[in-house]
Amino acid sequence: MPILTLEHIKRTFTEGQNKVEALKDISLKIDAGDYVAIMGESGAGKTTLLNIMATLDQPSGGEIKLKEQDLSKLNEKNAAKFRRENLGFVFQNFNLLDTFNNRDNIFLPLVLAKAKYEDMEQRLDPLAKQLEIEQILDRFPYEISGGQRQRIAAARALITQPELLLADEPTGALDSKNAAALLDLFDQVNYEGQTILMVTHSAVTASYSKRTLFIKDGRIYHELFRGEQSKAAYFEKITNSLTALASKGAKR
Amino acid sequence: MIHLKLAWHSLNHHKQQYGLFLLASSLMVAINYVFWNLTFNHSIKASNYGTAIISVLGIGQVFVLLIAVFFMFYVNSFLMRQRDQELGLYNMLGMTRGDLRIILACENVLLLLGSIVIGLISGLTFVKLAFLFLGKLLNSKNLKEQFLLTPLVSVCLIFIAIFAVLLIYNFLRLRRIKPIMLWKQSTKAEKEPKTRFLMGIIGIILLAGGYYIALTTKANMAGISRFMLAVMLVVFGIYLVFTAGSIMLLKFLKNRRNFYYQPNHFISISGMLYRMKQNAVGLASICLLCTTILVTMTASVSLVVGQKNLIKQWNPFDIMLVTKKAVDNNMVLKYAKPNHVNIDKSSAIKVTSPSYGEIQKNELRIQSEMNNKTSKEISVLTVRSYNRLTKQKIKLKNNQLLVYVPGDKLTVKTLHVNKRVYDVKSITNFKLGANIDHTIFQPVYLVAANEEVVRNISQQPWIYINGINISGKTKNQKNFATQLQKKMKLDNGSFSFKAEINQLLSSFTGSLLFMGCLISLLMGMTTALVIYYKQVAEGVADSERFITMQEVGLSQRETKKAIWSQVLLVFMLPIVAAVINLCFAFPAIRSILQIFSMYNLKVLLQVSVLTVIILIAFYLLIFKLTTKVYQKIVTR
Repeated sequence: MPILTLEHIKRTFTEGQNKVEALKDISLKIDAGDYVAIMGESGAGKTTLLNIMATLDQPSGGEIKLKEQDLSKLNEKNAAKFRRENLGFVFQNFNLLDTFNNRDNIFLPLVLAKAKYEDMEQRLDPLAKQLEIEQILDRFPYEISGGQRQRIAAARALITQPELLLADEPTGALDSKNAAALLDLFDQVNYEGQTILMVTHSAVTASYSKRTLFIKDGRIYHELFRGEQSKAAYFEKITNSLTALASKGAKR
Repeated sequence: MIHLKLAWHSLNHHKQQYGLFLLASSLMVAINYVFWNLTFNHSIKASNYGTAIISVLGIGQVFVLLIAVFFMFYVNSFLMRQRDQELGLYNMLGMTRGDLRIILACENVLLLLGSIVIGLISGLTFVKLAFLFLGKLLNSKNLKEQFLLTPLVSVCLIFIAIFAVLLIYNFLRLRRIKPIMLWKQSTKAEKEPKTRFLMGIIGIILLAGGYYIALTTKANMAGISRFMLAVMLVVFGIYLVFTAGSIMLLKFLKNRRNFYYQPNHFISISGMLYRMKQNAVGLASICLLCTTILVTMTASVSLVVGQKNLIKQWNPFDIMLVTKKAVDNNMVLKYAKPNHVNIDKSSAIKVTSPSYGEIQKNELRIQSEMNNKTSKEISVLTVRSYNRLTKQKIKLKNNQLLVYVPGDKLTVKTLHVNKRVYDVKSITNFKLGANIDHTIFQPVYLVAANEEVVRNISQQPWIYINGINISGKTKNQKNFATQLQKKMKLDNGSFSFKAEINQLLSSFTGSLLFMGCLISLLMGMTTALVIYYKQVAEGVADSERFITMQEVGLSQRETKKAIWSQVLLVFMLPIVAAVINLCFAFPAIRSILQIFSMYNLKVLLQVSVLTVIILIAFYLLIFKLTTKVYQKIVTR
């Protein structure tokens, strides 16, 4: 049963007289419990695609559905509500607010949804244990390391128990050790049933996923499934595909 | 040369931030100039009570200067936070700190020149337009606008000094920061402020001291300088209390979970706490400006309203004469007839010539000459004269006195005078008991049992107070008054004609009202701009925060609600504090007004309540308008 369906999604930007087609024709389905990585070079349309899935942007054509909800038909107010009820975000630069301590940063989406303080605490307890952030909850984002910040951001995304976790270059600002720790965490929550979709540059990061999509010039160009392969074999296949993608681009 | 170029480049590049800075600093230059210009204005000094008006203006001058210093630091801190990144870049590209200092200095000088030019031009224009319009509106012709060099130069020097201090502060700031930190400063967060008990306590002490002085200072010559001290204490106190107190309040609110973890409160409390140090200065400035508006408007309007009262005290009769011998009624009639003027009523009474004095609790001290403590003018008369005048048959014992204070009432039951104790009773019907000298001191009339008792209180020579009511054509009345004065060889001190006094007072209260309106207008504009600056500067700083929150799921409408909640919480503080300030300034206003012979408390109360209501309306309007600006910046 697909949780997210995209059919013939187009997105055109107008820059003065010129029209730029960021997304030409994207169709894909993501099932509940899936773990999808989207790869592609800069300018391939990855972020545009993510923004549309995140209801931060509207497609110029085509249809996008999360469960039964048509995302292209949400108005601004409902989109905001939809985001906080159904989606969790992890950003490359964390996007934590310095005005809140870490605990309050994690609580933010719940507070916006008018949850009770006791409920918020109850949800946070197991999550904080799992993410090993119990010690830093009362500190501020600017007082902790990058890896810790990304775990706080992950906690903020997961605390609403979202239908879909969206991650935009989640390891982009992390060193390899912290990146591996975060991806292990993603593996774990995915194993527990969390659907994840992430956009990334890094083949290593993508190799943690169950499925990798390659985007080029606004279209899905290629698709890889991990299946029963080892992580190393899957990683090699991803790297090969990337090289092929790049060399074809260079020939053109 | 390259430094100047870089400085110029950055001014051009960040037009919005520097534009705001220029707006704020030139406004400060302008209002300081206006106050300096007014204190040096000859026509104000030459008007009635000119010296007193100038002294009051002097308080305003100090006040405005203090506001300028605090506000410039506030504005500078906003600017520097945004400048750090660029300076960090230059530093990374190989400029030494010395180079950065030169760039900062160049910018500083350019901004200083800009502020002085724009500020002085707008100050000059403001003075000119204000005198033109308000002069027409209030029909006050004796106040004239004046261009003088001294205020101009003084204001320039003051702002050169302020900018120099800012520059030194920025240099010190530069030294504290390492190059790599410099680069990150603008993204690096300001730490959550600590609760500062000491600061709060010092603030409260200063404030209490200021209030105490304001409450205890009497209306006399030494008063003005004490009021000046009180104003300074209150200014510093307000800044400290706002800084420490607002942080305490917000932390208290934050610790109440059920209140804090609601969408609106959550966003607004954390946002304000985060920037409270800067925020507090803005709020304190708004509070102080509102206080000035309240105080000046209350004082000047009540003075105008109280003008009738004043005339009643000075001239209970159409013509008042003070003579050494009783006036010959036949002679008066002789001049009345040819001028076609009717004498409606004529009365006279023998009293002692007024002597200076003061009343402390229930001791009345007679002074041989005027000094700092003088607040009353005391005349004594016998009960026989009083009975003859009022057609009563009151009998007084040697230790009894009747007391008459025009427009007021003495509440004491006994009075010590010259080592004797008298039982005292207040009387209200003594029409001739006027403020015959037209001084700032309150007249007090004592009715004593006999001449011996009179002499025990005052050794002043006897004089006669004569009051004449007349009717007829205005022109005839005037001719009659002039001829009578000439014939009796009385100077303006001993002869006063109501119509003339009325005219004189109108122009005088007119010019006071003019000054009050001028100052309030100026302060109102400043308040509006401070609020505007605060909203824009903070809007720019907050916009990123709101973008992130919208990504996490805050809708536009909720954003607006959160902003309103934030605005409402902060907006209440300054206006409430301003009203508290007014309450403490109230006795001071009252005693300053007494300098101008205005003793009516009821009028003062009514006027101040009305002023508060008008100010709140004005304040709400400004906040509504500027909040829209803030919203636009934050939600774009």
